Amino acid sequence: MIGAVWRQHRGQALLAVIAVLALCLLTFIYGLSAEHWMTGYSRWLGQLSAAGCPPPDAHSGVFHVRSAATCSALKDRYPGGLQPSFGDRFHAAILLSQYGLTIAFALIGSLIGAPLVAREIEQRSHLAAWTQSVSRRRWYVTKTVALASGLMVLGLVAGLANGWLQRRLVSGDITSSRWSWFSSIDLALAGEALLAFALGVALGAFLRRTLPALGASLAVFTLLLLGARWAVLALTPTSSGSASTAPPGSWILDPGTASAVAYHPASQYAALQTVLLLVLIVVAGAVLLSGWRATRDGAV
Amino acid sequence: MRAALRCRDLAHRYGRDVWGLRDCDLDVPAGRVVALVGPNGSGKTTLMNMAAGLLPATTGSIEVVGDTPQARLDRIGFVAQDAPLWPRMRVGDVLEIGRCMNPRFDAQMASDRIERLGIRPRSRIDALSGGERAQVALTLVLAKKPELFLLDEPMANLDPLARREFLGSMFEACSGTGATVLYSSHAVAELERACDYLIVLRGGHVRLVGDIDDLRMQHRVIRGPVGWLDRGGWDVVSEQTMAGQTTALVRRDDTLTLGPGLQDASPTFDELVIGYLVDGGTARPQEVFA
Repeated sequence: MIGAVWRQHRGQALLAVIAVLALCLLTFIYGLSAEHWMTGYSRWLGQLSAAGCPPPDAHSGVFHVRSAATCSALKDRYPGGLQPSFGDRFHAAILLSQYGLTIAFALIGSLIGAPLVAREIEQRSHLAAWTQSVSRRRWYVTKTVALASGLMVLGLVAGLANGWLQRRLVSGDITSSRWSWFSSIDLALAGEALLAFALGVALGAFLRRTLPALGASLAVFTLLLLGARWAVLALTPTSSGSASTAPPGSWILDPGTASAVAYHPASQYAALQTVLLLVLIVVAGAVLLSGWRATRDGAV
Repeated sequence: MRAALRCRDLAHRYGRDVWGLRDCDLDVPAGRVVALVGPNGSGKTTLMNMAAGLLPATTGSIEVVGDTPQARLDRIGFVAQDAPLWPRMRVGDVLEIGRCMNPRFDAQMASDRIERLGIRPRSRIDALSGGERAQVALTLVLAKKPELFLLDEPMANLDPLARREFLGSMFEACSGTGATVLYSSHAVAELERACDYLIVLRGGHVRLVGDIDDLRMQHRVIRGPVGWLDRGGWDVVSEQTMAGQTTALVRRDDTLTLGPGLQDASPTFDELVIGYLVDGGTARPQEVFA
């Protein structure tokens, strides 16, 4: 049966692998470029201090400027200092890293999931597929498990690549926190790819048409992901303390009063992301189960 | 005798109140070539789909080669109306899928047959003619070595020449295996040569079932001047009046004598089938003959 899945889906699989590798290549290029940019920036800082110019973030102080002309020439190379000029230069990379990959995996998952049952029904090939010696249940289970596993592997690869890029991007001081990447690096993309795929399959089985299933699964995916993300961050136990004692890198959920805030310390990041992955797997499993019911009970 | 297909009180309902098939009792003996005839919407496809395990029985039971269709999927060779396959796939890949999904699949036989038919394994299904696609679908089914072929109008969209060609090779291939063939169509004439068993469906009910020779023995076609039917005690299946003559398909009854001016003959296959397909007559839904 697995051979049949391969025959039918190898084209899709190849396209998905190419798309994900292209995205990984893009994150790699952006990461190297960010490293390169940071090297240039440190060299510039060195040049500034060698020339006795004030550093970009200095507002006041006493500086022994040797040549005012050199300072004003150097100053314009990174206008506004580290954060504004890095942000300006890597705007696209940050968008890609924080949202782009999630959107890409929502699309890839739905594009592979939605036709799985719906396209078969549309082109009536389900009549051939379901009358081979393999039961309809085994057909459904083998297909969904094989494709979902492949998608999760791709999601994991892209998540790790994006995690690598993220560490280069935060060096640009755009944010001190990884929490902005909570649903787009490391384990998150694997869960999202699975959820989008499951929704595509199940809605395809319900609606029996590929395109409406694709649209519906993208919409439901957005709602479920936002819901799962909120639930994982807001409903899990938090630490509390005053705003000033929260360790750096914490994510402050509820600003409360200055003396008592609820936060997730940075050390909980990996645990919470694992919880997010598990929640997405459970939701996707339930969705696939209802997709099976629709596949089993739907008229032929 | 082992029944290739056995239905007891079988019915399928679409939605709330549309019955695709009702009160269906059938025993199709193994090894027969069965013509399943009926107008559109008579329940042919419903019966085929139920026998192929694609549709559940709403009431009653259906058995294929001694077990439920779902448990006997490997013994069923099903070709649906217009022989649908995966349009974007290559012929070779379709056969490969067959090999992966059927334990007893004869891959050698399948590729030989495709080659003999002059179909290139590299061709995409949607680039084939309707006849070639039907042949690929039939090959996929033949290589599975089923005990019951369910062929649901596989050539509904073929031109007459392609139909003739396909029909010949299909019956040759299927009956060569000793398997039972259930072939549905509303084109009656082309079934006569190949089939030896008949099932007529109408309005979701089985109207007639049995060995074709027996059925022809059990019926007569009687023709005479208008009004002759009023005198008789004939059990009329259907009647037609044209140009002052009334022709009726009746159940044979040797106790009745033919009146003057009446001619009678054994019904042809067409007369038998058409007689049970048209409305009218005093005929009730028939009990099983065989």
